[in-house]
Amino acid sequence: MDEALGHEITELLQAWRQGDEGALEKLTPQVYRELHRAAKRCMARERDGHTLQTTALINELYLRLSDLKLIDWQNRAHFFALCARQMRRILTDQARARQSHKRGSGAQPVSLDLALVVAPETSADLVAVDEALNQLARVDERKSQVVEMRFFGGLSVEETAEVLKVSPETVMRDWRLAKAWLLRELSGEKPDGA
Amino acid sequence: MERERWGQVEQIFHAALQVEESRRSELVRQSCAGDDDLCREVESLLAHHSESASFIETPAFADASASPLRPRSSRSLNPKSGLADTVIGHYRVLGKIGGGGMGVVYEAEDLKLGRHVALKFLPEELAEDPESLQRFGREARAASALNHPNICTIYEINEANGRAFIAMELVQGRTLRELLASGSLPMRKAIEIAAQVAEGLTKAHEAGIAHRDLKPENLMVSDDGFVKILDFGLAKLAAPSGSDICTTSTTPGLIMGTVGYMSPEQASGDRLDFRSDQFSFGLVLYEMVTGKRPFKRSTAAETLVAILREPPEPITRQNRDAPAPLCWAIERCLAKEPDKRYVSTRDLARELATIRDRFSEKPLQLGEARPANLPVQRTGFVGREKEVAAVKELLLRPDVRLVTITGPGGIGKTRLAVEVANGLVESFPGSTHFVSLSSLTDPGLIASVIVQALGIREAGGQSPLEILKKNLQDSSRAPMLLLLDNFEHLVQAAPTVAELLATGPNLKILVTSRAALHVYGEHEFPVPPLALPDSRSVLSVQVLLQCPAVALFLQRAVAAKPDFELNRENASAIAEICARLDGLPLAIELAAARVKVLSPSSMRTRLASRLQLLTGGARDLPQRQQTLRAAIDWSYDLLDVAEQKLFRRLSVFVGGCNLEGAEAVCNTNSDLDLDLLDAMASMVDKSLAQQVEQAKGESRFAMLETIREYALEKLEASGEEALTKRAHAAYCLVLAEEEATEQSGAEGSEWLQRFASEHDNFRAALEWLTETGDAEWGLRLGTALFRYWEIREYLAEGRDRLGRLLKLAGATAPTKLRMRALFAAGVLAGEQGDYASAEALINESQDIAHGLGDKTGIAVSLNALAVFARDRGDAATARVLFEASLGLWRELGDQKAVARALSNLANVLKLQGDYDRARALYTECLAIFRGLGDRTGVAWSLNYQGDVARDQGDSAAAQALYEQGLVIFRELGDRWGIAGTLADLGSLAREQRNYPRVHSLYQESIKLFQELEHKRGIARLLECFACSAAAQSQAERSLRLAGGAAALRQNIGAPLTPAEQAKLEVSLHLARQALSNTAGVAAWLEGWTLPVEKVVEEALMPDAQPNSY
Repeated sequence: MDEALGHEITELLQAWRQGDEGALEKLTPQVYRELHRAAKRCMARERDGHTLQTTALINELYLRLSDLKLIDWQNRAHFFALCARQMRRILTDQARARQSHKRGSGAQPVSLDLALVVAPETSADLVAVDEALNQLARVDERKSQVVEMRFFGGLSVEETAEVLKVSPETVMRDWRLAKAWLLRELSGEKPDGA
Repeated sequence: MERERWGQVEQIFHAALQVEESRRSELVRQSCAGDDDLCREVESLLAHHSESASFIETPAFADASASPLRPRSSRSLNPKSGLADTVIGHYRVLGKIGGGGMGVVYEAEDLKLGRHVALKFLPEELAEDPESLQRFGREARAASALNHPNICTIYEINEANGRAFIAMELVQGRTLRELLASGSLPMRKAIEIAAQVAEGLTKAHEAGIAHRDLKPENLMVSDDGFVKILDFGLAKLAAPSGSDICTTSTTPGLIMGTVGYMSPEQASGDRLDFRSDQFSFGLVLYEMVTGKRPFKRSTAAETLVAILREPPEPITRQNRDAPAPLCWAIERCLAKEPDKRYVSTRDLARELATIRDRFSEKPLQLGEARPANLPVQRTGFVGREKEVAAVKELLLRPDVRLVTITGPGGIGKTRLAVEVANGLVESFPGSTHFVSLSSLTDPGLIASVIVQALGIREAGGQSPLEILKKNLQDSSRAPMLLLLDNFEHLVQAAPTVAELLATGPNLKILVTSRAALHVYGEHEFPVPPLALPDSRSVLSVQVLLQCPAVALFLQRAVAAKPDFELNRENASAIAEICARLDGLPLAIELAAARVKVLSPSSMRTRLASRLQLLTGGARDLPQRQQTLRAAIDWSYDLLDVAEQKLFRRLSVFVGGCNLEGAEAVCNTNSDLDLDLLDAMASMVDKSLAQQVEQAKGESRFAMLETIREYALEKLEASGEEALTKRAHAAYCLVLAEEEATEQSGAEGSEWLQRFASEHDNFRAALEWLTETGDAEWGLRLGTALFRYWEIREYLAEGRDRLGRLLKLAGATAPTKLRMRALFAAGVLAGEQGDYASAEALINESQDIAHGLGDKTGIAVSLNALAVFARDRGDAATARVLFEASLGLWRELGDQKAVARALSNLANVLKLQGDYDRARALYTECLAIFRGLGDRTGVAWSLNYQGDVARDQGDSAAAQALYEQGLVIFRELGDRWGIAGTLADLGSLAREQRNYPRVHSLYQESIKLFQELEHKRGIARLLECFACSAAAQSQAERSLRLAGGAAALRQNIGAPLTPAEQAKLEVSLHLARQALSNTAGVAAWLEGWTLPVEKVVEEALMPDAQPNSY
């Protein structure tokens, strides 16, 4: 990521924080592009067979982020929040792809490591979480955002609170309820009449 | 769901979580007010809540090997689902073991081979895919096939009943993670574990196998001390439960574990080789030594960034006891670039093995610094050869750690113990320490007294017992013997003795006590009386002389009357006296001392009647005790009335007295009517007291404990106890207050000696004042002793005594006295590093000062608070407080105090880099000292100014200032000042690379410190020499000297501050670069193991011919 781009991202982030939704629209493609570059690099290394695939992916991104020398943690939190959405897409897309491979030929289409790292069951789980999260968003948008940031973006409670402009206590409450809700959704048990 | 309804669900859900689980249903029912749907909805969410603890807590990307959905994926292997007793393949599962960080592991019985194994289950998908299962197993089996004692053996990787599993060696023990649960490990243990892990890693790496997931969860320390590396080559096999992620904090989103032990190349997805394991191993080592993970951050992402980018915090900042070579090894493992780590793991293993071996063979330099402090015996030792040999033999047996010499008072326990210890000095190279407990009344202080006797420094807010245990645990301790004398009145402290023995095998304890301690592992040695002549036969003089009891009598008799001899006339009388006295050495001594006035035959007659009389009286006492008592009675009765009075009153002295003390306490009302010097001499003649010569020819008199107890009983019976004890307390108070005011300026001189010799009396007086609730005198005495306690580092004891005094009913009023005592307690707490208590105490003292309008009190409190702030590293606060204190001193017009405050303030400013103001303040301070004619003050101010100039790089000015100060120190004959300034000048010359000058300055300085026995000074100079050698490319010598200095610092408990340590490391870097890592480690360790005298010798060798021994 060159410095000019870094500056641009920083400025856009600040604008977004200050309520400029247009900044977010400009920012998203930038972030997405960066993420995909990182993903490509990881794919290239994959042949070495020693890669903890997704870890490396996110790590690339954070490294670039620390290169940005973003001014404060609040900015960083917003950036991570932005990444969370992209990460969610990338991870669930990967998981879906693997699922279909398995259902298809039965052979192992991806490298050994990758298969292990995101084991089929896990892939299924990720896809399921993603779908359940969409359901949750319909009931309670903010709670689904909390899960997205924390689970897919790795944000801390404080960071999530900063981005959502609520108190950390509220984030914790949302998180608790959302987890119970999602778990119930995934277990397929629904109370009668609910 | 409608927004409103969802809001209700949410509200009730959270409200229910606020109450106990048992009351939730009730609360939900009430809140839903008959709305059954709502009720069911909330209930079902609550039910899932209780299962959701770990659900999606781990970010999806953080460690993808873990399934995010634990409740679902682990269902098939739920330990509650009754795997126990199921048979899988040819294994019968017996039960869950390990757990925690290890993943779910079961103990199982191999039905074919009848052995017990550990079973670990793999993700279910693997079972369906034999090909990949086989592939995964290959590497694991390859590692296992290495058959190394430090690698856990894998028996098979297989699949049965649709489950893939690994069967491996069952190791009874605990994982390193469990051992680390309570923080860092003792140094020896850490080094031992490290060396073993390195061995295992070496073997695997040489076979081309890397572990890739080395972490404390994968290291098993068996109960018998073996370390096994688990899961070799299994890094890629995801644990079924996702338990590789170890959430060690309740903070959500905080994940560690696998991510925490990754190498930089692992984190960035680069190619891995064995050096990645070195990095992970470095992280494990770091954690063992410091209890912390160097790159742990609040999120996985930040942790990864830290692994890739940030240097670890220096180890010595967290554990100052870590030997430098170990720190270097860890730092090298943690190099970000694999190329900068070890070229081969064998080198690393070899280094760790060297450190382990050297570390454990290191002789205890404490012993050299403080030679065995056994009391010197005045007279020859008679007739105990057999007993001495027997106790020695007992103590030398490897299985015997505690020997208690028991017997009644006067049987000669102490004497025997000292003789045994003297004869075993060679067998205990870690030194022998004599600790007299007779003056101790509080069993709780026993650890403190031992700490003092061992010369260990109290610090860091730890209790003396903790300090002691930590010190004894140290593997560097060579075998040492602790002699605890007169334990009988402290039986409650017996568990402390057991606790000390439990710290490590290198300590043995020899106790003398009238009764056994009754702790586990104690070997009691009852002292028999001296062998007596056979009364049934007529014995020749020659034969009688061989009899120990008679020999003792004769020896003491000759001491009293030089021409006394054993002859045919007195032989039978003496033999009978010895027999009548039951062969009790003390009784025989008391009798023999009387030969000047009584012939043996008249002595026999008198003793006989006395013994018969008393034996009839006190039936409850054991026979020998009665005999001894009778002997003392007899001796007491032979004193005239005035002497008896003196004898009784002398019993209030603990640890003896000088003539002045005896006069002041025993003759307060001039009612003794005797010449004290003569009377004391008479006591000594009669063996009722002993005379000890002290420095400067002053005589000191002391009573044996048995006799003092007798005298005290007589004093109680005479009704004079309270009066005499009060006189004793008054004498102690006057003495302490006088000395305390005269102490100004004189460091380490006479008043300290004086306090040391009277310390037991002070303790006894304080004890009595506390018991009788005399707050005023008690606080005065405690406050007067405070400087002594501070300088001689009786920190815990001083705090304890002041604390008890401050709690007395008469001490609670906000008086000046209380203010001072609080201050004293606060300073002692600060010295211990317990800043929280220290500040609370000083603040209370300051409040009283405010209430009393006592500005001096406020000023000293401010100063103390400032010192605490500075020592904590908070220079900004220190500065503000010093300034406030300075302002008050100026107001008060106390010039000397103003000058000191200026100097303190300037020192902080210098630390902050504000050199101009620092210099200005020193100049002002200098002017004041000059005006006061305080030349010591002037010299130190010049020295400090020199430091400022040096820090600013103005060597010429620094040199001029140091030299001016030096001239004054020399005129004053102040050797501390001279030595310090010479070292400063030497370091200045070092900056100018004038090495011959450096050498001669350092040389003079270290010799002075040696004369002064100032260990810290010696350590500092050794470090100076080490830096100088490094600068002159004498790498090995430099590191040897640094190793020696580090050992000395560890022995005296005076580590460098982190800032100083960092500075030293920078200087030594040159030397380390010049050598291979192994050679550097070897040199440092050589210095570490050498006796300090040898290290100083090497330091003193001319620079031209280094390394020549």
